[in-house]
Amino acid sequence: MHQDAVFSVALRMVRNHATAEDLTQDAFISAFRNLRSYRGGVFKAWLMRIVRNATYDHLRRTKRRPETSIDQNIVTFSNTIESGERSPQEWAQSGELGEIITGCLGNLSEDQRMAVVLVDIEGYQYDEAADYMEVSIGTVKSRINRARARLRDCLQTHPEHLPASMRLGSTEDEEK
Amino acid sequence: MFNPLRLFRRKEHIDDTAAAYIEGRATELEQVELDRRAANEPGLIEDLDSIRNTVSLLRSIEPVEAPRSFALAEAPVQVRVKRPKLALAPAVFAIVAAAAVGLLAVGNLADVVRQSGSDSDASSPTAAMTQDSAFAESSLAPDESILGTGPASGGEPDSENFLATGEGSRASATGTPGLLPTTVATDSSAFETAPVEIDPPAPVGSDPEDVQSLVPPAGGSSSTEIAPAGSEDGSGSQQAQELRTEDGDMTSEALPLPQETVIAAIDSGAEFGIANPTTPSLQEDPDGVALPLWQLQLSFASFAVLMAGAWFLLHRRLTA
Repeated sequence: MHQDAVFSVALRMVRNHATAEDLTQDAFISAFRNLRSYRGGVFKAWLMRIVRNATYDHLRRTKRRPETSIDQNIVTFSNTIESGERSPQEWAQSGELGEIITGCLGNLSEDQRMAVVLVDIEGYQYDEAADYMEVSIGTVKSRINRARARLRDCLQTHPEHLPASMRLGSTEDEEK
Repeated sequence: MFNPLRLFRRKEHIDDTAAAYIEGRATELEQVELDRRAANEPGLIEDLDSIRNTVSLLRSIEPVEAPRSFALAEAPVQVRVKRPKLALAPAVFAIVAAAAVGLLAVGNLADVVRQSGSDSDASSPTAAMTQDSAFAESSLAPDESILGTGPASGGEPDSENFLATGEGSRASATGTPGLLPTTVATDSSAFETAPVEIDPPAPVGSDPEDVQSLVPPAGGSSSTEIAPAGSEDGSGSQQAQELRTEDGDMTSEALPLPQETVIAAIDSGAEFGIANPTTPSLQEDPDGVALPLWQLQLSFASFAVLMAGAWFLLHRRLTA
């Protein structure tokens, strides 16, 4: 029931399919073993906290011993980015853009990445994200604002892959 | 008055307004505020627009589905769970506390048994001595005590009279008061004053030569009749003898006691005629260290309480 949500968060955080599967499995096993510590409330929130801690632990471990393999296809775009069907070239560009976004997410800190993944990618509300991260709503907003600004700056370094609407000064050029 | 908190709250408010604009949910008031702010900060709107496009790009990312089912099977959850290091601590503390209480009870019981045993044995070693004392006192002249003449001395042993009871009589001055009624020679010549190897504090004015021999004379006195205790003729019961000097005066009686008893009593250092030297007031340790039992009991009780308290706290913490 919550497998997709847990796996998705784990994948966005660690950016590796195999690692995300392991972490997801460990999170469910840990939840089963520590079921007696569940004090009620939203079960999904409790589960998300477990996977959050698991991903944080993994990232801290890999920070000391970095892993070289990173999946580059964890990001795929829906058709909503541009209206209409996309050509194969556009699909390829979207694939490259996905790699860029994946790389830019890796430049964020763990807390900022988690905030962006929960709110902007997974679509949770601020209060839900605050519950999963066990921080206040103000903290979540602060982290998201900084994360968005950094992502924007990172993506602007690859303007050729960005949609036209995202390129800086594009509207001015169009007007001209 | 300047309040930095107001500045922080205002910045938060602006950030909330900007976030609402970025996410496309800004109200009219928020839009007006942003427009007013943009008039003072050129480039603000473009900046917010770029961030808004980034957020739109992130929201267009397709959701991910789990590649397989993560439903728990038997194998993954059969891993043996490590017991916490302190899981056995409560049981250990409980056992130690129980052992301390048990030792306490055993100590009490042993003390009771020892006390009862010592009470029953209290009479036998001193029976002869107390009996001898009684005989000694009963055969003394009214105006004489076992310590020599001097009722007028107020009960205090009169050292001078202690040494002279009657003409030519000598009282034993072993320097170990409260010990024994000793033999009293009516005539110094009647006894062989064999040297006795004792080291008592000599009374004031005492003369080493006045220390009577505690050894029964080898020969009988020509002027006294003494029946040693336990004599072969079975006259041991007649220990109260009336001794008469050549002058016919009553003197302190002679209580010929066995040599071993006398020397042993002297060595024990008991007080003269007061206490039974074989009844120790404390548990004597061969090494010379006296250990009051109540201190041991208190130590055990304190230890048991500490162990029980530690067990309780650990048990609560581990089961919480």
